[in-house]
Amino acid sequence: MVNYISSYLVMACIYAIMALALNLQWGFTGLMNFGIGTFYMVGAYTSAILTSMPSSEHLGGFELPVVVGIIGAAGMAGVIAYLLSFPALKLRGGPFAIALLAIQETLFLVVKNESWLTNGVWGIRSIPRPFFGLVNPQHFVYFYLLIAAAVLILTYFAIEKAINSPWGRVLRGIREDEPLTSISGKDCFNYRVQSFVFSSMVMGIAGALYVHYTGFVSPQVFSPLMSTFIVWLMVMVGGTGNNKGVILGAFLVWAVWIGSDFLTDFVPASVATQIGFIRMFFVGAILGVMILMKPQGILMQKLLTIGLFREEETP
Amino acid sequence: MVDLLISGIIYGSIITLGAIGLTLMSDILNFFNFAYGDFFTLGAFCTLAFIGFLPDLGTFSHLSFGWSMVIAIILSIGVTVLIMLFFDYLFFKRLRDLGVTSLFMSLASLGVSFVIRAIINIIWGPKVRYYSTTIQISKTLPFGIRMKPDEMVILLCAFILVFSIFYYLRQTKMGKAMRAVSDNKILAQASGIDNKHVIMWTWIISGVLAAVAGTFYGIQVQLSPTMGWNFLIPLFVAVIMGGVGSFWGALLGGMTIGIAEELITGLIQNTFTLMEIQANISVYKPAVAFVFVIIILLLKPYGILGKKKG
Amino acid sequence: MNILKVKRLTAGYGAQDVIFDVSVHIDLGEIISVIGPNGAGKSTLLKVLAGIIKPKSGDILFKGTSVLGKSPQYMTSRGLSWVPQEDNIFPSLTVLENLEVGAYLLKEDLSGRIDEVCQIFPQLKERMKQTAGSLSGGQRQMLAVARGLMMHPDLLLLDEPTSGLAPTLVHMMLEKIEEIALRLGNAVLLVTQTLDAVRLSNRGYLISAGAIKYEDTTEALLTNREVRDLYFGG
Repeated sequence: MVNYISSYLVMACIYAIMALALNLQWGFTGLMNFGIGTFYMVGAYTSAILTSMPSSEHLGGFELPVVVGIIGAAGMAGVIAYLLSFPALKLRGGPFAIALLAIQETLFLVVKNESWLTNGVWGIRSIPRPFFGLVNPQHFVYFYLLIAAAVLILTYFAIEKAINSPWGRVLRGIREDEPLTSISGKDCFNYRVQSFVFSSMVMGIAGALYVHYTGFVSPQVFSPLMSTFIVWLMVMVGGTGNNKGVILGAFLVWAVWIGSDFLTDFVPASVATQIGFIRMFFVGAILGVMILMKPQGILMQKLLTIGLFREEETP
Repeated sequence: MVDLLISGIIYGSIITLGAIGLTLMSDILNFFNFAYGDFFTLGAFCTLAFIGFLPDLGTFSHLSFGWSMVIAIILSIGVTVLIMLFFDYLFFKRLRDLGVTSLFMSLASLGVSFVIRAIINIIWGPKVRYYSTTIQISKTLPFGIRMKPDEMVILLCAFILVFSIFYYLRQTKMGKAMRAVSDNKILAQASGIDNKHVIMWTWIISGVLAAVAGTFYGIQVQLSPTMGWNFLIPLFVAVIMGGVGSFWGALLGGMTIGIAEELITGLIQNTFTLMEIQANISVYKPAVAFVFVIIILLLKPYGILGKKKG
Repeated sequence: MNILKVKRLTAGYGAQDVIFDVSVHIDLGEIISVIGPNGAGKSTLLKVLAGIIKPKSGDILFKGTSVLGKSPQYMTSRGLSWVPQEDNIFPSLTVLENLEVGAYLLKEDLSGRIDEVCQIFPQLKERMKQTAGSLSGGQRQMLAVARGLMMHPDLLLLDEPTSGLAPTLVHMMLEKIEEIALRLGNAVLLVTQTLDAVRLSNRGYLISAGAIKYEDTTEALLTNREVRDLYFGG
C-alpha cells in the first residue's frame, strides 16, 4: 500500500513539475500552449536514447550516466523550443494553441513511425534507473521519490526566483500591458522566447525523470490526454499564476486519475482491453459533473482568480 | 500529378465541408471546439450503424453504395445533430451561462472529445472499418482526369451542400442573423436577435456538415475511432487560414489544404520511391497543413479573409 | 408619463463602477442631451439603458414598467433602440441587410419601413447592395442611425452620432435627427460633445466622473459659464 502511494507521489511530482512549467508559460507569459507534450516527449526520448544500452532496434545506446541524460533532455527540449519560437511565437491565442497541438501531433507521428530512431511503438527498454542496482527493487520507489521531490522543490524555487527577479517583472509587464512595456524599450518578443525556452526545458526534465523512473518509454505514454490535457487541468484546478496552487492541483488531479483506476476493476472482462478509454470516459464525466454542479465557495473563488471567468468588457 | 491534384480536390472538398462547420461554430460560439473532429467520427459511425440495421437495398450502378447509404446518411445526420445539441444543452450552455472564458470552453471541449472517442472505441473497437469492400475502378474523363464513380458523387454532393449553406447564409433570415452575430454580436443583440436561436442553428448546420463530411471520408478512405481527431488539424488550419468566421475563407482554406497535402506528400513520396528510400510519407500529411498555417499566419495574422471583430 | 425614468442607477464593468446614482427622465417628443468629458460614463449609461450592461443598483422604468436587468433583445422589442458610437453597423452585410437585421423583430412587411427610412436618408437608397464596410464615414453613420430606426422605436439612444464627421456632414446629421424626432414622434437621448447637437435638445444632463453634475434646460446649460468653458471651449 505504501508502495502504491509512493508511486502515486512520484508521478504526481513529475506532473507537478510539468504544471509549474505550464504555469510559467500560460500564467506568467500568456502562452496558451496545447502542445506541451512535445517537450515532455522530447526530454523523455532524448534521455532514453542517451542513456540506454545499445540496441539494434533504435538509435542510442550511448550508455551515458543518468545525469547526462537529464541535462541532454533539458538541452534538446530547449533547442527545439528555441527553433520553434521564431515562427510559433508570432502567433497568439487560439492559433498558437493549435500550432503547438499540431507540432505535438507531428512529433508523435515521427516517434511512432521512425523506428530507426525510437523503435516506434515498441519503445525503448532498459533505460537505467538510478540506484536500481544498489538497493532492494522494492525500495527503489522511495529513493526515486526523494529524487523527484528534490527536483520539484528545486524547480519551484527556481521559477519563483525567476518570477520575482527583474526579468520576471518585465514578463509580468508584458502580460499586463505589452504596448507600454514595449515602448519602455524592452524587446517583448525576446522575453517571451526566453520564457518559452526555459519552461520547455523544465518540461524536458520532467520527461527525463519519467523515463528513468519506469525504465521504459513508448509513444502511447505521450497521448494528448496524458501529456497535455491533464496538465492543463492541473493548472486550472490549482489556479493560474499561483505556483503553490498549481502543485496542489497536480497532486489532486493525479489522485483522481489514480482513483479512477479502481473503478475500472469493476468493468466486465469483455471490455477490459478498452480500459484506457473507460477511464478517460469516467474522468471526463466526473469533471463534467463537477463543472455542472456549479462549484460554490472556495473553488469558485479559485476559479475567479485564475482568469477562467470573463471580466466584462472594458469600455 | 493530375491524379494527385484530383485526389487533393476530393480530399479538399471533404475538408471544406468540415471547415465551414467549424468556422461557423468557432466564430459564433466564440471558442475552438476540439470535439468537432469527434462529431465527424460520430457521423461516420452512425452511418455505419444504420447501414447495418437497414436491409440490403443493393447498390447504385458503378457506385459502392446504394439506397441504404442514402437513408443511413440522413438518419445519421439527424442523430449526430441531436447528440451535438444534447451536448450543448447539457454542458456547453451551462458553461456559457457561467461566463467562463474561451480557453475554459476549449479545454472543456477537449475533455468532451476524449469522452466521445472513448465511447466510439468501446462500442466499435479500434480497428479500421469500411462501408463496403468493393473495389472501384477509375473512369476516364476528358482532359486525362481519372476519378472513381464514388469520388464523383462525393464531389457533386459536396458542391451542392456548400452551395446550399451559402444560399442559407445569404438569403434566409436566420442566415443573416448568423452573419450579423459574427460581425458584431452586441449590435445583433441590440437589434433583437436571440442569441440562443442563432447558437442552436449553428450547431445544427455544423452538425449536418460534420456528419456528411465524416461519412464521405469513410467512403473515400476508411473509418476509425480517431479519424475525426486526426482530421482536426487540417480542419483548424483551413479555418484559421481562411479567417475564423469566413465562409469563403473556409472554402479557400479547405481546398488549399486538401490539394497541398496530397500534392506535397505525394511528390515527396514519389521522389523517395525514385531514390529508393523506404518511408511512408502519407502519415505526415498533417505536418504539411501545419507548416502551411504557420506561413500564412505570419503573413496575415487574421487569416486570408479574416476580419477584426466588430 | 415619462417614457423613460431612471432612478439612482449605479453600474460599471466587473468590479469597477462607472456611473453612480444617476437619475434621468425623458418624455415622448423630447430631445435630451447628455454631455460631459471623455470617460465620464455617458456611453456606459446608454449601454445600461440598452440592456447591454446590467446595473448594480437603481431602477429603470420604461413606459412605466421596470426593465431592470432585461436583455437587449427585450428592450428592442419594447420600443427602445440603441445606436453605439463605434462598431455601429454590420460591416460584412450589405446596406439592405443591415436594415433588415435592424427590423429583425418586425412581423409585417419590411419594404414599407425601408422606404420610410430611405426618405430620411436618401443617400442609402442607391447603395442598398453595397457592403456596409465599404461605406464612407458619413454614410456609415447614416446607416447606423437608419438601422436603429427600423423598428420605429419610441426611444432612440444615440451615442455621439456626429463624432468623426466633417462639419457639413455634422450639420446634415443633426438635421436628420431633428427630422426624425418630428416625423416619428419618438424621444431621443443624445450623447454628444458637439455644441450644435446640444442646441437641438430641450433639456440636458451633464455627467462628470460618473455622476450628474448639472441638469437643466438647454438654454440654462449653455449660458452656464462653467459648463460652457469646460466642455465647449467657450
